[in-house]
Amino acid sequence: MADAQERKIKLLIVDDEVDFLEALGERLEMRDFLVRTVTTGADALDLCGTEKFDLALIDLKMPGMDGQELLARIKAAHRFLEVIILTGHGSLGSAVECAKLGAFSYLPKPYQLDELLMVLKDAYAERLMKKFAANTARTEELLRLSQEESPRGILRRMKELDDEDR
Amino acid sequence: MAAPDGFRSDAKRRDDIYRGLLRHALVRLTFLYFIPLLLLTLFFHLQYRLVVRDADQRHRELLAYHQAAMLEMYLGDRLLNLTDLTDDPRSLLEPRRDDLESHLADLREVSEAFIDLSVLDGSGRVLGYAGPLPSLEERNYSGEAWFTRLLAGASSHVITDVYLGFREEPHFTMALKLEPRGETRILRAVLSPETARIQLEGQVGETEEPGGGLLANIATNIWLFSALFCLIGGLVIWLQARWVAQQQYEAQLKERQLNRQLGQAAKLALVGELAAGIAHEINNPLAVVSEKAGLVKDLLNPRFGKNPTPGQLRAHLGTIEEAVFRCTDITRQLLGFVRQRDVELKEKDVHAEIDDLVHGLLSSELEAGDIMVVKDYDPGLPAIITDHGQLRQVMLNLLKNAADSITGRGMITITTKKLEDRFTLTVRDTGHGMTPEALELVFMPFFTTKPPGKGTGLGLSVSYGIIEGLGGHIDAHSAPNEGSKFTVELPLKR
Repeated sequence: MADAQERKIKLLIVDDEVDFLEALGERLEMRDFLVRTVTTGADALDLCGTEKFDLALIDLKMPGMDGQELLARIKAAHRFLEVIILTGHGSLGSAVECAKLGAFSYLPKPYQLDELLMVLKDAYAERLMKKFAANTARTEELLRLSQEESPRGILRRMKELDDEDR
Repeated sequence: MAAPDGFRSDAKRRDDIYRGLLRHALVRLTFLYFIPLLLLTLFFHLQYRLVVRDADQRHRELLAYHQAAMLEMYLGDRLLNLTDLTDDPRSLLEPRRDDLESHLADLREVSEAFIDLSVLDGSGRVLGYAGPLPSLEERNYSGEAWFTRLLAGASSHVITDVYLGFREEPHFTMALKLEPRGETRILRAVLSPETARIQLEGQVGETEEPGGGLLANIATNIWLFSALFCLIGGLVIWLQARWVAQQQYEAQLKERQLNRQLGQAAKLALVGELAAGIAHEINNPLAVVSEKAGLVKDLLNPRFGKNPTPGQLRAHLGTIEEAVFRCTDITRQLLGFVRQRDVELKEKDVHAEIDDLVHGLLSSELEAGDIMVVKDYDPGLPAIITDHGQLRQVMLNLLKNAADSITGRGMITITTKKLEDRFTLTVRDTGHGMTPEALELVFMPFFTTKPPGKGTGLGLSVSYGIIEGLGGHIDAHSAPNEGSKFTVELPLKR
């Protein structure tokens, strides 16, 4: 069972609307996502510190820390975590802002679930692509390192490369 | 029918504006143009007067001098005529009338001014007389001023001023003193000043009035020139004023047009903002509806094999219903916000209305929250004439907010107070209160401190609009953890 859990895509949903949060979480769990839900940005940051997520769905307008700030802080700490912004507001200005901050996509509420699943799929593919590209770069770097540097230098550099995988 | 009327009055208003501007420009330009002109004119006129007066005086002095010289010459000539008669002074000792008559005739031939001729002795007695008034022979001239002067004086002749004398007629005397054989004899001739004047004038010419002739011409020229200047000035001012007024009028029109466009833009911006707010407020419950409906569908989908209990399904459907009513709440409030309200005035007791709300619509909410309601009514408050339907909505909003702000036990105090021709209605709660920042935004549409799904953020902004519309105002006081106080002030009679 733990193995099955491991193979699911881990998804964080942040929204202050509890009814929405619960319904969406349940539906995505039925579709084989491993879902964690929180209602505030602060809780979301805490949870990201203890658990590793593949994708995050974040509501833009929340009391306290809003979606935009949360997005910026999550992307700063976890660069391979792809973020999709949800909003009922639907103004273009905030969409552009979010894209600049590194959001993968911007989805206006209400949406069709298939639409959301498609975006989630694309976001996950993006994550894999980026990870793969980073891994390739790292492998090449490793190969280069082993030819030039001393064993201690190689070790230190390898640790640095490892740290990037968060 | 209304449109052309409106148009006409608009056109008339524009006309008035234009005329006002024109008048303004005219007055201003007239002052600017004519005051310096007037001052200059006055100055030059004064200068001119001075010059003329100066010239006039010199002219008169010259004339007087000239005339004095002429007179002197004339009198000298006459004296000479008289002296010519005294070639033989002895004939004057016993003057004969015939001789005197012929002498007078000789004299009058030279000058008509001679009237008569007489010979007097040293005691002033007339010895002989020739002329039109023989009665004068009886007179004695010893008391006359000229006589005594002649006898006393060193001069052998005297010429008097014009005087009336015995004959009661203006005349002047010319007398010579002679002393043939030791006897004093005086030869006296009387002359008419009028004739002398006429004769003199023939030589001197008419005395001219200064300022006449050339100078008078200059004066009229100046007045003519001034009038022409004023006329031209007036014309220039009129044209200039028209031009200025036209410019200002067009500028004003443009400005007004710009303002209107700005107003339109501001309105559009407001509508855009409002639309964004509405979209957000409605899309969120719609998303709940969509997710819950999807969830129910999923639960009933055999593919997932969930087999939900009817209770689970009912709970989900209930949430959907709630979200739908949140949407309708927003739309209804919005309608209240936008709709042109028809004010329905009625006379009613406000206290009864409040009681009705507290014990009716709000009773379950208040009891569930364990909230005590304290009523502090002013017994002197009469029935109020206002739109009670709208006032009721305001009171409902205020009481609901008060109840919502209280968690657990609490108290709401409702106070009414009659002022002069107004009254206040205050709702005070012991709830969580608001920060100063929140208090500032409290009447803004879509602003709410309530958790999502609980408030639309429209209640107070709608209430604000209603109270303003009813001729009153609404005020809020609050501090965190000290509760809030909302005061509505309205006229007793709308």
